[in-house]
Amino acid sequence: MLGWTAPLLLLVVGVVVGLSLGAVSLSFREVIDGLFTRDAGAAHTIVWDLRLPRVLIALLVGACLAASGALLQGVTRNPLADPHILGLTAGGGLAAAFSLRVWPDLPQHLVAPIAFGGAVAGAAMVYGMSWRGGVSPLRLALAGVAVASFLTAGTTMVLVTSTLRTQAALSWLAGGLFGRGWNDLEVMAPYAGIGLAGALLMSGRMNILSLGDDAAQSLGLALERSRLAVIGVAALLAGAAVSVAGLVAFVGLVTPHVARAVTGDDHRKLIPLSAILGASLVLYSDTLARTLEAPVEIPLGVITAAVGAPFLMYLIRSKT
Amino acid sequence: MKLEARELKVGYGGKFAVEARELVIAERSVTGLIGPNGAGKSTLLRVLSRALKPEHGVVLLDGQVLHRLPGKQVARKLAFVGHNVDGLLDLSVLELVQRGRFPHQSFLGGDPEEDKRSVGWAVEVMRLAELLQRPLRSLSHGELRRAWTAVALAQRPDVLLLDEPTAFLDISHQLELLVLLSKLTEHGVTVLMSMHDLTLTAQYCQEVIVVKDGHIAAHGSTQAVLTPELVKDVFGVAAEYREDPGSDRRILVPFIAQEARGPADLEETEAELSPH
Repeated sequence: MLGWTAPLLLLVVGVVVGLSLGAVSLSFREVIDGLFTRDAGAAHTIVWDLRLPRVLIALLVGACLAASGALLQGVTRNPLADPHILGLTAGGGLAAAFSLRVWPDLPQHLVAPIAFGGAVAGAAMVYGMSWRGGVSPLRLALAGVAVASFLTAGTTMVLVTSTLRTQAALSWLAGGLFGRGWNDLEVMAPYAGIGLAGALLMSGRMNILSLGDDAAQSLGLALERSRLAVIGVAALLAGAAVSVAGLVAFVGLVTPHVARAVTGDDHRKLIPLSAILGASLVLYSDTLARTLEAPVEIPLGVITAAVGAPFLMYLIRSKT
Repeated sequence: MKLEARELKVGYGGKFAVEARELVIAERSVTGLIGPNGAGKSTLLRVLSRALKPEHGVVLLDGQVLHRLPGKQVARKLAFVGHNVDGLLDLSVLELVQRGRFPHQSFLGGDPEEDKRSVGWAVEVMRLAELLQRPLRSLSHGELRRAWTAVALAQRPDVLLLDEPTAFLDISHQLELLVLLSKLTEHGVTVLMSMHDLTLTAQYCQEVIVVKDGHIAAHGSTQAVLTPELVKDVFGVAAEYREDPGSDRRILVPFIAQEARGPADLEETEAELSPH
């Protein structure tokens, strides 16, 4: 039980801290007032209109990326898999970049679904490339790396050949939640909700799938159908995250490893714990991103990488 | 439970890797599947376990076409243990063996009592009681092999297929596992396993299926089939049965003909080496 109390506590503290820190710092009392009383004045506006939606988006983005990473690491049986490395988020990035290049006046609320579609298309490319009468975990991982490099190259190409205005519109690609509000949350919530529920429903099968093909086959699991379903859900989750937060690296890679240190390879615990830890990681990172060098925002992806990468190195050295 | 194949042809890309006109696995006994490398033993096991679809013909499990049955339904009657066993998963032995209950569990879970009984039985048969809480990473290869076999047993199969169960095991672990597998027939389980060691095959299998160049070269009781002539013909090495001084059994000993040394030769060599 101790394995769950600490992460949940971390999460709650993160929410309070995230709501109180910013250009105007609020006390704990003001945060509570701002949340629950309408006539709290400025505190209400700051907490309710500005910080709360952003905090909630950060939580969802982190939960989605981490759950997606846990699914992908299980299905590829590869500890290096994550939605970033396997081309899922790269597909979303390219789709968004390309449509903004072609149509610079694209309204923001359309960028999200386009990025989402790109992520799903990226996943489909990876899946299609690794299909040869069935997909093997190794081919899946290798095809993912190839597709990711290819799509990222495409995004860079679009960025360097586009106007300053487009580039500005695409700044979210570097990963960030600047200016995100309730309507962004409304756009991503359904995808994130379905994806997270799907990941939890999939956890029993993931336990069987992660035993390897021979054992999973012997236990009667429909291998190809299960793999397709898992990749579909992972794409849904990655798409939801990339559509509001751009390319946020390392969350999907690192978080499942941290969770695994607590739960072992039991996906019924691993997936929810990954989601909780991922939510915390992105929330704290985003709070840092907007307060560390205020009023300048550091890209969220930079913070998650700066926090995540050393932690991964630590895990590698301590576990293997 | 009867496992049989009829007019079976299995292939990769138009070429038939294995053919078997009629194959009936002897029930409640241990059958050894032998043959040179690449003869098609693994392919045959995979078709019989439902992992691979035949291009022609059918595999029948208890009279029903295996490849048309739902996976979980098959998995409650038939289990397969591949020859690679993973020791890197971050699981305890108990957690691993419990996963063998998957085919008996629906979305809402299964019958906890029955799950417990079956896991307990698998653990007992594979002598894992003292290792239950140990992480897989800490197991020896022999223990790991027993743990993965227990996963298959927790399925409560009537038919157990194993691909080279003794591969990479030292001799004591090989013998231990074969003794444990032999005991399964007392519980009504039909065992079919591919083997490389002919001596052990002769000792522990009541039946043998001999695969050569993708077809069944011989099939029947070990005594009748596994003769020195057949070993010579299929494997290209000489072999003979020798009396086991400790029992009234005979032991099959394969050897390379040119280097063959009978007991007389050995005495001669010893005499030459001896200073007296």
